Amino acid sequence: MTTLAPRQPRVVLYEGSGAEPFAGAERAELVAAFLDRGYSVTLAHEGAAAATDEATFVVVGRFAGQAPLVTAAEATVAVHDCSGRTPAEVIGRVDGARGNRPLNAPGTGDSWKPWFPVIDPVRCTNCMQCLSFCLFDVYGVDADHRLRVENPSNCKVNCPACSRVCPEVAIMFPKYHAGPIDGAPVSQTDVGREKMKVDISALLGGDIYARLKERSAEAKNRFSRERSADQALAERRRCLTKLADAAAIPREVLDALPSPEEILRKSAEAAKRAAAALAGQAAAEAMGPAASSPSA
Amino acid sequence: MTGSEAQPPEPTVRMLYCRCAFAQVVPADVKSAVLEGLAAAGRGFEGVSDLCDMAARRDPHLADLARLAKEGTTLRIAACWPRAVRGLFHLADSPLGETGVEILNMRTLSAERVLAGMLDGDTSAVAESAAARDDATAEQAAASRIATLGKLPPTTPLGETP
Repeated sequence: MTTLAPRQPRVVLYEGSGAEPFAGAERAELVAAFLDRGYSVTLAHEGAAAATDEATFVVVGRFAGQAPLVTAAEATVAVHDCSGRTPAEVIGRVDGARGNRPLNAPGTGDSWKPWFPVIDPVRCTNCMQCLSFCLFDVYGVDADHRLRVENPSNCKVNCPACSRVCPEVAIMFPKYHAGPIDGAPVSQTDVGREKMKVDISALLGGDIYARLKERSAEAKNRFSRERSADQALAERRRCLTKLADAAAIPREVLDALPSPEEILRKSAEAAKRAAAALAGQAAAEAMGPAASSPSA
Repeated sequence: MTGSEAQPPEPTVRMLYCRCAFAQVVPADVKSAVLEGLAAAGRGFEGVSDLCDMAARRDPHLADLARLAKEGTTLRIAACWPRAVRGLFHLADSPLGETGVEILNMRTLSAERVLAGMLDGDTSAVAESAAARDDATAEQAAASRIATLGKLPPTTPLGETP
């Protein structure tokens, strides 16, 4: 699990009073470079202080030697006068000013690709099928027993499997390559197609967890006979190929799944949480609208 | 012009540009041209490296933007599908209101259309942003992008049962 800081650090490019504007191409080059490094950027034409927020750590401008003092919500912000500096030099100075502030920088080895399910609140019926399905505790429920994406960074990058179990086509992955999972409008045809796919277990010829249990027992026998890690892995790959193809799950995600026993344990936990949420919803409905707080 | 003829003041506009820097789903030429157009316009705007990343953090700035839009500021967002953008704000506990928000879809629109919506308030570009492409075009575009980039894993196209 990746621990996420509340905000990415912000750079303010200031062109208001007391600063000369950047040249057009240079302005675009700087903004693009900062965004591609993971920073947020504000191009400000009004007061420099007004453009800052708690995430702002540096204000950059062509101040001609008269760099102002800028105080943001929590701390004095570094101000860099970049008069006469090339964009590469400006970027270098900003990177230096960041110090040890955490930055999720795209394309770097330890970066986290923001891949996680996004619920369409208009379509979601809080049926909790996704909560039951997910083995990685991505989903949870709020105080009103409604579904929420609780731990986005637990999600397995490039795996859209839970979106394929949603009967309402309410789960999006904005970085997916095709609609409606990418957030494109949902057509009636999509709803029909997705409903055919709801029961992934059916694609495996029965209840998925019962099958896993069987496989677990079979595997124990097989391991005791063969004791071959390679054969066990080959068998696991063969069994999971069907599921991978049906739900567009990347092979590396399947390979990283825990043991069948652990899958069963996690699925039982998830099912329990889903059942509790559904019971909570039912109880709230039984008590009438006054008992349930308004949803977001 | 007399006081009684005075027009109500133009609503303040706040522009937000998403770079979608962690993925290749927004065409690179479109997002670069949109950024160049915004930068050349001589107006202030905000850029974020990745709106998904912000939402995952439940960045409080998203709540600020949603609040401003509810208070009368027009919030224009250049990002991806409006349904996804609204879902991201919702995930961040900062749902957008029905009005005051104009989302421009860089996955489907040309840079010119996105800039017309962002800078000129062209509402037809906003409407186009939420319109579905026909399936064949969408699948073709997706397949072409995958073939070009070779970075996404093979998947079963929607609607095809293995």
